[in-house]
Amino acid sequence: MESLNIIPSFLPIGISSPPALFVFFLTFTFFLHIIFVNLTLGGSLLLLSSKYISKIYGDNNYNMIAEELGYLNTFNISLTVTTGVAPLLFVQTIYGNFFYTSSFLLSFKWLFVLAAVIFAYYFYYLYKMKPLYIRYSGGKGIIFIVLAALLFLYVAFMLVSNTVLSTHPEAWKEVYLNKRAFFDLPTLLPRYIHFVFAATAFAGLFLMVYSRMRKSFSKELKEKMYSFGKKSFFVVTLAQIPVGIWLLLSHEKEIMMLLMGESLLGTVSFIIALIAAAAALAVVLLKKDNIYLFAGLGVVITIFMVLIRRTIENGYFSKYVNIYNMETNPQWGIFIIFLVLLVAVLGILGFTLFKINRELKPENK
Amino acid sequence: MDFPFWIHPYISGGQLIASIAILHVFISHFAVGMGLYVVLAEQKAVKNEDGELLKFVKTNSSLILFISAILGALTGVGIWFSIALVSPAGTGSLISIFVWGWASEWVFFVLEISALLMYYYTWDKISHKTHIFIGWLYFIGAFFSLVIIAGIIAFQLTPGTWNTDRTFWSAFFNASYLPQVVGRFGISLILAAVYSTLVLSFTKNERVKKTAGHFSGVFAAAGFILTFGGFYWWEISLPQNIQGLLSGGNAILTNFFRYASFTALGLAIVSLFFTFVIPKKINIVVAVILMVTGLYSFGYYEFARERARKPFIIMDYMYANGILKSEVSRLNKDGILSEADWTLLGKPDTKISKGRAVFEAECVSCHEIEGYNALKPKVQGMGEQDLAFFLTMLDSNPLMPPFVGTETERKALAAYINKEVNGGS
Repeated sequence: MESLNIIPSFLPIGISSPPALFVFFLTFTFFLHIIFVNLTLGGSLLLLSSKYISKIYGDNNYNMIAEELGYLNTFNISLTVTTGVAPLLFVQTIYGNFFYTSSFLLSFKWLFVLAAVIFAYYFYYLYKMKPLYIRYSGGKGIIFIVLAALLFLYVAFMLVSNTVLSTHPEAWKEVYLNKRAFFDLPTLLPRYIHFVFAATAFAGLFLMVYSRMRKSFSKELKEKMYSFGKKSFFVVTLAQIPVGIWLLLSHEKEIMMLLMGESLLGTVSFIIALIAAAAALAVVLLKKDNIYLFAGLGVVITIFMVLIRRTIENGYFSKYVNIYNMETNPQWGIFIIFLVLLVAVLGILGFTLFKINRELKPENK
Repeated sequence: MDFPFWIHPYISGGQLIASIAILHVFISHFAVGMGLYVVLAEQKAVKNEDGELLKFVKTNSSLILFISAILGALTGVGIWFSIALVSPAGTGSLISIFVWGWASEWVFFVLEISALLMYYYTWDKISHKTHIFIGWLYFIGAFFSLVIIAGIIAFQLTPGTWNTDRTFWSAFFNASYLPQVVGRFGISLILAAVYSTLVLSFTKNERVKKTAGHFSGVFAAAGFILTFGGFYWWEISLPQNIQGLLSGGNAILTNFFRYASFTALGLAIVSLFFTFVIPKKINIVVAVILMVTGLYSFGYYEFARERARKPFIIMDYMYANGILKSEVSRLNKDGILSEADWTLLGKPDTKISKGRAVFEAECVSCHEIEGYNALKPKVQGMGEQDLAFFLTMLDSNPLMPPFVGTETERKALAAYINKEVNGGS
């Protein structure tokens, strides 16, 4: 099989821990990353929607929702980039030979991701700070969010493409020789749509929870923000049903079966995620007003979707290599330092946030 | 070498990495120095109850937010993206060795960015004490990023005993590591002073301009002492043969290292004069001149450091083209093309196209026929036979790896270069 020849072999150096540890940290840090990805991408799309609603119905509350999302998203972009570095590191550690090759095949399209994020980030700051004449202009800089959202959709498309391409070495030769387009891979389009919808639904859930947390908002604004988040979540999650089925069926049968009995983790995760999504829809329909329940369900769905993703990707990779056969040359000292640092820094950041929250004046809360 | 190689007519691998990396180091070092600058300046302003100085500090902190947290962070990711495209084998090896070190650096990066966001957005909203505490958190995050990354960069040039014992700690605490930390921290302080002149040039209040100017001067002075001391120490920590290359043995290396030192000296004189003697005269022209000089000086140094480890990407372990030193004799027997499968994809089975495949596998990570580090002027006038002979003694140049592969492959490469350079057939 020629595709086996062109998959670069493992490096002879040996990785510095057992592979399972990297799989764990890849999954864990990707979970942190995807939360902020969802907020950034989904938040951008909801920002545009609420701005549009405010223009059509002349309701200033929706304009304030858009402004608030603009304010929040500069933080989310920063944290998306920051939390994205760790999974990038770990995916290179265990799947570098796949990931490097797919990045190579995407070439400038992949590199442009960096420029796209830089521009989108500055566009967000232009919208947030409204320097120069922007605050007096008719759209108050909304054009920058239109551009930023397009750039983020591009970035998401490239990230999904790179992942899918890395899991399909059998397509590499044809893509390299320009006989086949990378976006022709069967799971790519449904996966991308599924992902963009999920991000939007997540951002909707977030708005519901956030509206109840801000003390300084007027009652009317809180209610509008809550119901806007709720509707966004509900509609998009309903739309996920056909998209999810499409994505599931687009996989090869043996991969699909990993979620239907072949893999215990995959199957259990799939069942829990479906139940949690159905429960979230039901809770919204029943008009339950419990933000802890919503937040909990959102996190549960995300965790298990991340596990499903890991199962599917491991399934594809294991057709070609067994990462558990990689040579290891364990370096435990530095691993323990990493672990201690991680716990310490998360603790310090938590403590600092608590301190800030206690000192902030009520009008800033 | 069984990875595919980055080949583009408009931008070579080296140029791609350099264009992103130079921008990144110029921002990331500033982010470290300015972290210390703002927190110390804030302490001073609070102690003296100087509201105007506090405003100046706040503007400086916005520079960190808008430059470092956006352009700095993304160009940092950009280095990852670009080195993985250009030197996948080298990048993969460094990751295998240092992954938990890099993961620890990521923890500090999380601290740095989170603390920066908290610091900037809580100006005037919380107590000075807590605000200054957050400022220190930011500086600690930024500083320890430098402390870790310096180890990985220094390792590539002086891996020392790692080549025999293969442990993380011997890789990290290598001969040129501590000098790198000192020198780079010095650069960070200089850059904080240089960037601060940008804010100073827009500061109207003359009293603040004088106070803050002197403050920047102290940073610049301390920075220059650490930088010159650190890099002198760095030079003498290197193996004798590399020291020789930097001090006359190799014209390009020596020149780059000298340019770096001379421009840094010029920067020292001009910046100390303006900040200490005539701080009120600092304007945008002065600030831009200082910034451009700083970029050049730093750029020359980084180029010299990168070139000093040629022909290796990890000294005495892996050549710049990703070939392991230990694999050379095996590949001389089996042929480079037995592993470089990508280079043969879609190519006809002729001598010339085999030669081109060898070129892609061995040469293209540093050379193009024309353009970047071009071959054409280097082999002008040589025929196919001369080229084939020339290839047997490539490594007589201390910055070049040996030709690796079979005799047939060497002749095929000579035929390909001859065709490209001399238009032969």
